[in-house]
Amino acid sequence: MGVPILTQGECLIASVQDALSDAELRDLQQRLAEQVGARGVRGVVIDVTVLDVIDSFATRTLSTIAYAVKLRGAEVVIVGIQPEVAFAMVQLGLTLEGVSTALNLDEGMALLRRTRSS
Amino acid sequence: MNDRPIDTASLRAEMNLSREELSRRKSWLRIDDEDAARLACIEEMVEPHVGPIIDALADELLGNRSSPRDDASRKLLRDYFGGLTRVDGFSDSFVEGRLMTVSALHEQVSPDVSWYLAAYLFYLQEVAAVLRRSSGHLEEMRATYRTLAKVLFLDLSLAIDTQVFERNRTIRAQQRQLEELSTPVLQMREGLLILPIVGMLDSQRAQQLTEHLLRAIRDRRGKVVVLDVTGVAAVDSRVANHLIQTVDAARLMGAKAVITGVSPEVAQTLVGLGINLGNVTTVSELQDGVDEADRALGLRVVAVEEASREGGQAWGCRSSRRASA
Repeated sequence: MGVPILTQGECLIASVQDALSDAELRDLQQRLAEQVGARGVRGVVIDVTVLDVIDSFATRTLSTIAYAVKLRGAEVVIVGIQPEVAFAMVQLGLTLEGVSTALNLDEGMALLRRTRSS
Repeated sequence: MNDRPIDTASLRAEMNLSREELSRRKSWLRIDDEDAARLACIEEMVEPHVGPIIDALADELLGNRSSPRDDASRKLLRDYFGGLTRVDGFSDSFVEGRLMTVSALHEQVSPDVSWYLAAYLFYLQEVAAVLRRSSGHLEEMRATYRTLAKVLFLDLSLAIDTQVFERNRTIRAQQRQLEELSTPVLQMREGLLILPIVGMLDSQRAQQLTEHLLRAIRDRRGKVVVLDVTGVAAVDSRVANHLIQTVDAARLMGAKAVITGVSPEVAQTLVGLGINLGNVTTVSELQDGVDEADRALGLRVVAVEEASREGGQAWGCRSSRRASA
């Protein structure tokens, strides 16, 4: 099963439910890129709370998703990176440069609202 | 010192006294089956005479005190040296039993290593004297003496191991306490965490500090973190790297990090090392850092209204009223 993408107002919420294979990541990227344009969506929240590993491929794909979504006129926020995951990522030099992040879904939605209103 | 019950199996594991290690020690001391057999005879011969020897040792260790606690110690000592000859073939259970007694004695009176050495020698001499009086054959007596010496030295190795182990454990416990003490994460207001860093920042501490901080960000919903490095005397490239990693990790969790308190010397060093803190917000004082954090949180600190009516710049009174963004 791929990552479910929910619609909430002008936002899409991609809520990762389980460890992601590379194929699932690519699938997520493709579906998000399609749906962002189709429904006039202004923001995308990707919730990775359940992931206990985010490797270099996942990091790169998340960055690509953010860039692709930006090209389609919306913003991406990654939410729910766990302390251990964040620590492991910086040790590997994966910093998700240029991608917005937030603590949890709530904060992520608030961040999107703020960037839209400003 | 610590009041948890002594579990010999785990004690042995912690002290790295595996079966192999024990048999290595035994072979190093050349303990064989003959020794085990001879010990049984020693026990019979020595048992009646061991009382006065132990009393002399106890006097040496405890002085002439006699509180209930000292009496308990005396009893322990009696078990301790009495048990030396009660060996059933140097089995594992013997070693575990010895470890137990050694730890018990250690917790009760914690004698010095020097006391151990002297006590073992004293015991050996006294028992040898007993043997000399009771044994007929010179050759047999020598063999018995050697056996006794082997047992004592094996036991001494256990005793010293226990000493060293206990001391190391104390050191580790203190180190842990120190580490926990040295990295507090303070919550200043909702969403604002302050992390004062004091002292040397080595890799291990930096890692710990980062982990503390990240957990605090999750648990207290931190949105802005002020890292105050006023107390960091010296910075090298590794420390700077750790700081950058901490900032990046915080950002991954959605928190903005601000570094404050970079002293002129530290700034010079960083520039000299060619380290780029370009992606990190740095301000000079902790107070500026907090102001910066407030801005990021959409808060504004204003003076109480009386002060503002008087038209004074009320920097001294920082009572705050939150203006939501």
